[in-house]
Amino acid sequence: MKRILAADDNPAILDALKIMLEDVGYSVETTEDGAVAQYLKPPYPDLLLLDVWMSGVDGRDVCKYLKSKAETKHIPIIMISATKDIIHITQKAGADDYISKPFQMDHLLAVVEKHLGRNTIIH
Amino acid sequence: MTRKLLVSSQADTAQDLRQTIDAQAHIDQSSLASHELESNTLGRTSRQEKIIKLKEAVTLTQEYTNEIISELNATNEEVTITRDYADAIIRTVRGPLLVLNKDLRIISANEAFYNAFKVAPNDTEKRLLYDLGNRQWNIPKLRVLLEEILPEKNTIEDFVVEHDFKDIGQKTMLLNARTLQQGPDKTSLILLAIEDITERKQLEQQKDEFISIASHELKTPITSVKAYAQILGQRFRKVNDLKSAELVDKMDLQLDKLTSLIGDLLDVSKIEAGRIQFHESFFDFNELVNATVEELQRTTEKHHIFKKLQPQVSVYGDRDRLGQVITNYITNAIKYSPQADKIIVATTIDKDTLTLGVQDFGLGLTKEDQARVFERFYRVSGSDQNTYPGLGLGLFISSEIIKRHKGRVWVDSKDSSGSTFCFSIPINKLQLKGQTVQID
Repeated sequence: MKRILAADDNPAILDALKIMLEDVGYSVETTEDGAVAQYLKPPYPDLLLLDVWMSGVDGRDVCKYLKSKAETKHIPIIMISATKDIIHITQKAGADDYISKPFQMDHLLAVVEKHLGRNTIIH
Repeated sequence: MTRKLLVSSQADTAQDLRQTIDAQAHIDQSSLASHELESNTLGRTSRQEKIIKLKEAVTLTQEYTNEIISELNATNEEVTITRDYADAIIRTVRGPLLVLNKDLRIISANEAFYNAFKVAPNDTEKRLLYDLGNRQWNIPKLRVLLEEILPEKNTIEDFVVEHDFKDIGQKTMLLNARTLQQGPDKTSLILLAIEDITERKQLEQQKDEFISIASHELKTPITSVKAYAQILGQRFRKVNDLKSAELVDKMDLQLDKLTSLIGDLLDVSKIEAGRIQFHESFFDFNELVNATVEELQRTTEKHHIFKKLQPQVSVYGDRDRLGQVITNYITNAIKYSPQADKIIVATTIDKDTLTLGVQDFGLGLTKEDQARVFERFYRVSGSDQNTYPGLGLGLFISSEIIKRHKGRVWVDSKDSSGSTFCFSIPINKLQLKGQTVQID
């Protein structure tokens, strides 16, 4: 089962993400603490959903840091934000994809599936 | 002659003038008297007549002099009134005001200037503007305005100059200036009004930041509510409770509307601040129209959106922002034609210009509405004010987006037979004026 880590400082959004992703068969861990995402320890998640603006931590910095480390740069990172400039933020931070808030569930699942492959999903 | 002499002498006061006139009268009198002495042929009667005439002449001169003096007094009074009037204006105006000569030396300044820029009259008057406050006023942009623009145009209107003053810190100033010609030799004077708009700028910035933060904060709970609604919808579908699923879908649609309203508020704030950002690239315009139509078709059961598109055309511009304009036109068409069942989205290409029109078969617009419909906050009101809710921002934002693509927006409409909202943009590579980055 593929493991996803979702980092966002809003617990309700994390809760909803967890339900949506677990409903289709992913294992989901969540954190409201951006630093947890930055200083990931093995076993690494298969994918990281990362909010851009978290209390005290800038998701762009977390992304750049993880992409600069040999041991974590392979982890697909999907940035999530309400900003209209999310596409450019994603490019600059070196993230793999993005999801705009508020998001459509279908779109979220499609983007995650794009990076993790279909075989993991149990309908 | 006397009058001419007096006027041209530019004597400073009526007193000086009175002396001059008296002297002139005395000379005239003396010359007449000496002329008389030289004549030995005159008889006593004749002399008496002459004396009478002389007295008359003196009286006339005296009257004439008095008349001139009273005229001068009146002129003096007028000058005093005018000067007091100008002084009162300069002193009353709360904004800093400087009067400069043509060499940019300060002739006078008002209290507001001294207070705002913390300088004393002694250190100001007769000084070169640039030398004020240890040359703190030696501002390159100000030099350009006063030395290049003002001599050519004679006025400067609403130029913003930012400068970091050593004593009073960073200031944003709004400058207005005018050249005046004064006196008989038309000496040039410069009236320079300096409005300190630092605080206003800061407030505007705070407002923009507030709207940015507020919109971000509002989007967060909407995101979670929307996510929960979709989870609920899916769960209802799983147990085949389609009626409940439909209700949740409607809720989801309303949340989209709320999101779009928040987006509009944020966009207007960015437009006002000149900080709307554009990301231009080449993209397939028809693909954008198709995607937008497909998405909006889902929001209406009543209307069918027909497309009449020209063959594939590549456009250089901000895809998302142009999509926003098309969305706005189509959602308006849906909203304002509740009785109709079709909407036509058509494109035409003329040389280097692409035009898109969204035609509805609704109520149409009056001439007044057509002229004002792209204005900010303008809302078309039906017979019932509540018929068409909205902030009156969508078309304003659309027109600003199209303007930034060097295009134009317009509407064709006949009352009661629907409207066609159009925009045209050049399809060659546009030079969009992308500005500073704004994060929301």
